[in-house]
Amino acid sequence: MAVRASHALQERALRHAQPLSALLELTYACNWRCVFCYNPRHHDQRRMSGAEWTKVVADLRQLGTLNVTVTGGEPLTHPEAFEVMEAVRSQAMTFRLYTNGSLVTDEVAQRLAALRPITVELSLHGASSGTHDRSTATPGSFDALWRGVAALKAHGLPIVLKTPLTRINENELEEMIALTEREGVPYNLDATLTHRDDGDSAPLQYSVTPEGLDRYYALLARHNRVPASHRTFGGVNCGLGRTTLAVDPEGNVYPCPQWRKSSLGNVRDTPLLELWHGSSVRAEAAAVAQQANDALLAAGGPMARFPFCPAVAQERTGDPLHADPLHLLEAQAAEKARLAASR
Amino acid sequence: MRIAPELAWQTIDGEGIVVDLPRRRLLGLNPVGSFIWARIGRVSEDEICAEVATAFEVEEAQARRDVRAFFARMQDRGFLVAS
Repeated sequence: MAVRASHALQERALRHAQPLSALLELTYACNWRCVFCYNPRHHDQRRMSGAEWTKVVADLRQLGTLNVTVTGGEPLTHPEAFEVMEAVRSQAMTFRLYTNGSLVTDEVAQRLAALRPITVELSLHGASSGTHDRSTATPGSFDALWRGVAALKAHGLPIVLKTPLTRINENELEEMIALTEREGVPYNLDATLTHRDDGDSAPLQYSVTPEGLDRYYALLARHNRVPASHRTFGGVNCGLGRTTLAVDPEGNVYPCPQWRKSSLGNVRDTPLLELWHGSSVRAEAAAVAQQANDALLAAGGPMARFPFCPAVAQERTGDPLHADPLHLLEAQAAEKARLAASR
Repeated sequence: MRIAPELAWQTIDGEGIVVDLPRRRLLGLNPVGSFIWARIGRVSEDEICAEVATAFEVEEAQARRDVRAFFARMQDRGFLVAS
């Protein structure tokens, strides 16, 4: 079950700037070293405690959040990760957990099952241990992932596997799909890599090749799953500044998981409720979501019909209103695949 | 009476949405149901009835029947449990 409010409810949340979804990055720490990771570092300097996160979670309830994503770094390296997830459930919100699976023992899976997460989502970086472990720069990580999957399955947890498609693993695309089908696990792919949160563009060197993109979108087209956006003038591109927010390990608040250009402030200085309602940064980000929608429609071409992330464009070119070359490349590949499939 | 701990819920623009995690289903509440739901566990049943009567401009006896009917339906679904 994907817990998503109906379209009508989403529209109302957009109108009222109600952050239905929140991303909590518990920690930068991770026991893997994925070469394309968006995290600027793999250790914490001023990580928030479980008690501090519990206050954030209480404010999320008041703000109208329903779905919380618990992530990192590797969130299970945070010694109070369960305290945070328990706080989310005690506030009657749902959560999904993003984990690399390596720290999921039978006991961890059992504790997770009691909390009833919507999904536990793990990344598969290749169909073979060689490709996976090269992507994570961590020998043994492929086997660790599957041990975690087995423990989660044994406790009946709803697992999703997902792959950031890169030039390292693009040649195993079909094999990864076959592998997840054999395992009977829902599977998602994403071809978009992002800058590190500190602006470093190093991860982009691993972006999927144009040929890999064509193969990926041809595959999506065969299953009628090419993503599309249905824009109208005056609409909004996405929930930026309205229905999403993110909090980093040190308490900085952002108007969506991707937008790191400017922060609404820090929950250690100002309660989240005040930051959300009082921040000019949030209002400016919300305006960007509207302006980007109209700018893409006015420009026409494949981007007028393709999903667009203003935050990613901002990172890549400094312009959150217009498609950057990588967005355009994806939109063109999607259009080509859609046309080919319709012939 | 309190909301079952296996549920998640939120109010969006006055409309309640309940996530039944064990059955993996969503339930939308109508305006009266949403109004009652948001008060369960916070105020007494008598207070809920009085607030429904005021907010929806109905007789208190009618409000009481509506609240009890709602409680019964929610208990049948396992959404409400004894405190």
